[in-house]
Amino acid sequence: MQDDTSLQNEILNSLETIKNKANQGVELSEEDFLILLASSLIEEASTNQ
Amino acid sequence: MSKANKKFKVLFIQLNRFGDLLQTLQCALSYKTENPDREIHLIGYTQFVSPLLFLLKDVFDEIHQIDTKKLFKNSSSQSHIVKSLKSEIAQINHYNFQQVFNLSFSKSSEYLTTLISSNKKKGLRRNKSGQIIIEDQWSQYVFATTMSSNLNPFNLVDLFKSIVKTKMAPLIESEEAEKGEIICIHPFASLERKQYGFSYWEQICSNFIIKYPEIKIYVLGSDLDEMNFQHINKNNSSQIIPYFGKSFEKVLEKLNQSKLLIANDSMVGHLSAFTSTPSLTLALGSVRPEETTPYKLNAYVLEPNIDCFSCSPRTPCDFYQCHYKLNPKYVFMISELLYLNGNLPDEEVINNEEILNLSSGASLFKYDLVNDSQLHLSKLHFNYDSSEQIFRNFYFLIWNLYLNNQDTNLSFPYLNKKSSTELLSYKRKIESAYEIYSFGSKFSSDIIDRLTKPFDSFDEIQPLIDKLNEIDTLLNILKEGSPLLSPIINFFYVQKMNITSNTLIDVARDTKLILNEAQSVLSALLELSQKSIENNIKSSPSVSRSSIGDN
Repeated sequence: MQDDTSLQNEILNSLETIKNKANQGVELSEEDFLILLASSLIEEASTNQ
Repeated sequence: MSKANKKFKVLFIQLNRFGDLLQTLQCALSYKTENPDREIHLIGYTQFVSPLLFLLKDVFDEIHQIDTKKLFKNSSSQSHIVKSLKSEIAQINHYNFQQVFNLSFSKSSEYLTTLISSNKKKGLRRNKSGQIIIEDQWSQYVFATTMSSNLNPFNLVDLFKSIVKTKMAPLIESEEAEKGEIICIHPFASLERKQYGFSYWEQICSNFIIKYPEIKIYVLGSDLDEMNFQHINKNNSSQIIPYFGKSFEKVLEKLNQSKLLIANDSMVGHLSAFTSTPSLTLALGSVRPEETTPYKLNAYVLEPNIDCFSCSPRTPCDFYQCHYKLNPKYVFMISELLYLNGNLPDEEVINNEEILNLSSGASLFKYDLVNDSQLHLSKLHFNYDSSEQIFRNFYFLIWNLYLNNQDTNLSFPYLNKKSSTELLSYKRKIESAYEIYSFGSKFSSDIIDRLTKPFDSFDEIQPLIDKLNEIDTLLNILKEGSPLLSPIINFFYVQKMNITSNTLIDVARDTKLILNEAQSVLSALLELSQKSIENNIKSSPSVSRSSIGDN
């Protein structure tokens, strides 16, 4: 299993890619929204503890 | 296809905590009562849904849980998490929901709502470019006003009900549970600024046990709160009983047996809304009583009379002056009346001089049923209304008229010198906002005119679009110096940002309509201000209040 930091880094990199896509006017895919959801769930899980 | 599959299926999304979940439940109860043939589902976080299942399952036909602990524990990489989420969402989409209500106003719920297939969605979601879109007006209202000011006059349950379009009045618990000589207190809160001092709670409890030797006071709280029990029960009285770390089912049972709940603003109050037990909420710090007071007719609130109430949780405050405004003797006297009578007859409060003398630091409110379906906090004894209170009441009338097409009657505010002066100064500010919107409306008309005639290039139209954009800059400047107008300016800005038209001319037409609506709302606000000032001049406070909103 990946440690938390490498998972976070992986998600951060993906978020950067998604952000670039959105800025270039490219439509986001279902996969992109799933990554965005995963990222926000992680964020909320830490504040809900 | 089986008959069950043909049912109209509705999904409620609530990814916030216990309090929001309980308020969503009250809204869903109203919706289910009005639509008994529909199958209603809920999706929420396991950690909040699970302890409340005993209540939720009475209303929701199916409950879906997002178990983040399990999700992240069992997933070794991003691709695993995404795969798990995809599979969970596919299962949810299998139900083919005809209607989705996202009542969470959180980032994760926006993405989740986007991923769930349904032709009808209300609440926040994202478009294909990842931008927030809010199509229904009440969700636009919640997004624009509750997040950024303390000027929202509606309880969150009523806001949810408006989004969902259900109008059942709050339940009045007719099944009278047998009440013992018991009161419950919940002296804890999520933030220090919202938590009345333990020494005050100790005084209130002492007053009760000295005067009523048979009374039992249950102190409700979580396991973590237990260490503070000694601060409330310094004399180790056997009449003050710790009740920590119990299941919500047990807490609800105890609340049902009690004659009163006294609490800081917390989820225990929302739980008490499912009992016939009256509650007294001590609203302090960043609490917004209009939004979060337990949604029931026998809910009472004490709030401090101090300009900084209610503050933002982010505003630094080392000295909680609002706590000092709430005299524990006053809290005890109101609590005692509720303990003995089960309610608070207006006359008793107003005629008791001792109570009135103590009430200068804090105002007492109770819920009234308005428009047959909404709850509105009304002040029980005379003292002057703050400018925020005055505007909240104005907004209660205005938004009901504008968004619900509903006329409402409320009493005129009591103005003192300070609030009269502020109201007068706001007359000018409202006129300024009206003027800015009328310029915007004119620029929109110019764009429409220009677009209906032949033109060579969009460059000819750009200066007009720039002028229209300047309107938002001007309104933001005005808002800085006129915070009481922020709900209107924010709401119509959010409306403008959510125009879905595809052509430039349609966008210009929709913009013009929105700016004209803003002018209508400002006209109504101006008229209410004017009438309130006139009423204040001709009537003294001792005369009973007349009503605004009659016509």
